[in-house]
Amino acid sequence: MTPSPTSSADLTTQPLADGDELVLSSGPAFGAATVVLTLGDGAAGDDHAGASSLAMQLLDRGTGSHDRRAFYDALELLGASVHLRAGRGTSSIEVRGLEAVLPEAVDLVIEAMRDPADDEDEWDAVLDELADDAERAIEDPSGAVGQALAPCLWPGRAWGRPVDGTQATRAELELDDVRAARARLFGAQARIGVSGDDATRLTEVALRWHDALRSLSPARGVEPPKTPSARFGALATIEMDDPQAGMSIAWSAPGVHDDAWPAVALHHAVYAGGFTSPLVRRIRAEAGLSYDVISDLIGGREASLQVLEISPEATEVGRVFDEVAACWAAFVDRALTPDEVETARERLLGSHAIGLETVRQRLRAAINQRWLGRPVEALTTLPERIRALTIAELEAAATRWGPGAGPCTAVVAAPGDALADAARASGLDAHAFDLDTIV
Amino acid sequence: MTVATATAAAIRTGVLDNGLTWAVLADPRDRVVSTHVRVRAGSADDPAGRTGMAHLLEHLMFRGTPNVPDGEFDQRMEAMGVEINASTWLDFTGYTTTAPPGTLDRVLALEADRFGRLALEDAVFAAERDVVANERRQVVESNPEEVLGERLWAAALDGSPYAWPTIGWGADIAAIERDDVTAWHASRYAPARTAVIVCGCVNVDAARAAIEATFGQIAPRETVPSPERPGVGSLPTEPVSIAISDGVRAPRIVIAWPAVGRADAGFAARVAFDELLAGGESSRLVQRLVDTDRSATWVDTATYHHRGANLQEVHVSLRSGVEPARVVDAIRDEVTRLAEQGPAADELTRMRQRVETRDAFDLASTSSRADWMAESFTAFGDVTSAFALTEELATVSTDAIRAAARDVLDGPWHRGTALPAPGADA
Repeated sequence: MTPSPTSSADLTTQPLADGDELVLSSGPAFGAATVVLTLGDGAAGDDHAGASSLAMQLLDRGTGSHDRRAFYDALELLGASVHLRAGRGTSSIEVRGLEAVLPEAVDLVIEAMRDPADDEDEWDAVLDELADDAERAIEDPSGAVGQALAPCLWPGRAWGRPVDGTQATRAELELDDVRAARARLFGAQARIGVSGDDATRLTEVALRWHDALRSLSPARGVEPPKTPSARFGALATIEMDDPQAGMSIAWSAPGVHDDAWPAVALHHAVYAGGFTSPLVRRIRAEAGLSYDVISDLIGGREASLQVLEISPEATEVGRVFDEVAACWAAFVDRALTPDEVETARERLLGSHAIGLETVRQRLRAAINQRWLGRPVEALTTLPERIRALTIAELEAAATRWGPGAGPCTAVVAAPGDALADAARASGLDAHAFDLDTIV
Repeated sequence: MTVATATAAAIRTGVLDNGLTWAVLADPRDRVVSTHVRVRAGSADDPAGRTGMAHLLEHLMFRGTPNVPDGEFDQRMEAMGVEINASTWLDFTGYTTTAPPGTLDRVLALEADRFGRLALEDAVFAAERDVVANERRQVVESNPEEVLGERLWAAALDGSPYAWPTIGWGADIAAIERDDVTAWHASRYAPARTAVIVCGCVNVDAARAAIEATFGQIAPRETVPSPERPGVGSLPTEPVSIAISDGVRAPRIVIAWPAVGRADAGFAARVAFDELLAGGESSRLVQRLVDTDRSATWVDTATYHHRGANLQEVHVSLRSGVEPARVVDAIRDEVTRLAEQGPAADELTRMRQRVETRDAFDLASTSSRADWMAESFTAFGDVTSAFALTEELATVSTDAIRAAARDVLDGPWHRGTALPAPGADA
């Protein structure tokens, strides 16, 4: 292969065969290194819900020549670890360790990919672990709301299903379903990343991993699934007998390629992005209604989401909806001030820089940019774009994407009385959500 | 030399005239600068009937001084692109920032200002106390794992200043008044109990001068001494058993054993004991409970770095239908085996490799390096001693590990059980 690198400071990308790509991130790492294989497919592509997750989780459960115990004895003797993840649109296998041991550790993982044991006992163990994780995740109202948000935003769509499937869907899975999912994942477009003191020293390992991937799935290069549009305008209620409530409110944002994206990001930061933003000041500092007032702008290629998470006392759920609505109304009713915009701008830029501090953080961010369809240089050009934004551009973006500009979808977990109050205050069409449908 | 000891060797540290410890760990290759103001006063210092005081003060430190009115601290920090946070635990309260370069002088000026004196309005105080009450409901009362831990520690450490939760009991939080907090602040936040740590792409001399120009101007203060922590031999010896079911959907148990404090002899052996039990997928309890017996889906251990004697924990997530007693018996088998036979050579190799690798990843960020220094200050009163742990683990003897296992077998086995209520959905 003749490298044709594009670089952004110490980040380098090199095209590989089949449209795949190598991403290298070098910098001070105290001898620690990672090699990560990311695949442009995940649970959203499952014909059988939960198949991708199970396919990934079984990869460290033994091979034809190493059972689970022998696999981990060998890996941990090197001081290395493997981290498997199936997501909605992408999946990953990451190997971490000191640089000197990474080649041997990656070879173990390659062996697992080539010859997974898919042992019956391990299958049962993974099913139990996934069931346990799912139950734990919804024990408290905030957790329940977090898990229920995706099914409420994409009802009936693969994108909205729990990534791990449910106990019911997993019980129906056959080994062939899981093997088919694995073949599909290994056939998806791949990005292999390396981080370390000098990532180029591990290029050969990464290329060996890529060769192995190609040999496993000759028909390669399937592009990642598109981010579907979410459904807005509903309130999902979850009855939980708890003095504390969980609330999540989501509304639309453009995909990261939209010209308005940087302005939407900064506008979101002005409105809800820090301790000084009007929403956090009102809900937390002034009214003392909630410890958590968390806002997020989750970037997607075709569509993004703005999400607020608030956890008030259950009796205050209706009041929080009223406060949020009043705060939105007051905010859109006035002009943005230069001071609040500058504060939000610096906070956003500071957070961006801090988020790229370590060599591994930069690798993950670069790979994420590539999955979003942007060059790694976007990590350096985005701050320039944020810095150049004018108040007029923010106000223009707000007319379409600002709080209250469009419908939102909310999820609330609370006792019955509080849910009735939430329905009244939100003005949204309420429907009961059954937690048992996602565990 | 390990990564940790090499890092410690690069730390520059000293004590200012007012008794404040300063420390700078500079590396021109870093991209950001982290600060950590660590006060050796935590929830162990809470007055009787006012548990949660140290933690509530941590919240109120963001809410106004004579020079910086409520809201301006956050605003000024955010306007510099600084990420701010704070934490309180049994022995300490810590205030952290991470920022792009070029802001250190202004960050330290704001930190020193609030360290020096607070000015809290009644409405601000009341709202923040409500926020903390809300935090308690959300983080503890709605979370079975936290409820179990809180009750277990209260019973198993009765008589120790670690017996109450850092966030405080609900009724105590409600009883705290504004003047209680300002008096507590004045009597505990003294330079002699504090370290100011700077880590990142800074010049050592300039950073030290910035600390001197800000925190160095604070006059020494008399402080109320921190309460004595009882030794491990003085902790309750009667086994405690706590059971909960409210809100529980996934069954699990916690086993807790009395354990020495961070600066006590034998701490490294207890860490090694912990690592051998559940420090990785190839560890003894994972192999026994998850792989062989199939009684658990997940096992983890926790060895806390608190100054005084506390509890070492094993957390087990049970597979459906498994009797907790069966798992406890299996854990006892494994501890007994370790006490009688000691670890195998390859187990020790895996432990050392794992710890060395974990250190290398952990020390990659400036905030984490600052945390290590702060943890060291809390336990030892200096910012470097804690970095020796990895080397201590490399040389800890088989006999010391066997002795740690024997101590566990000879002491009480406290147990917390969280099982779904009979007839519950899950």
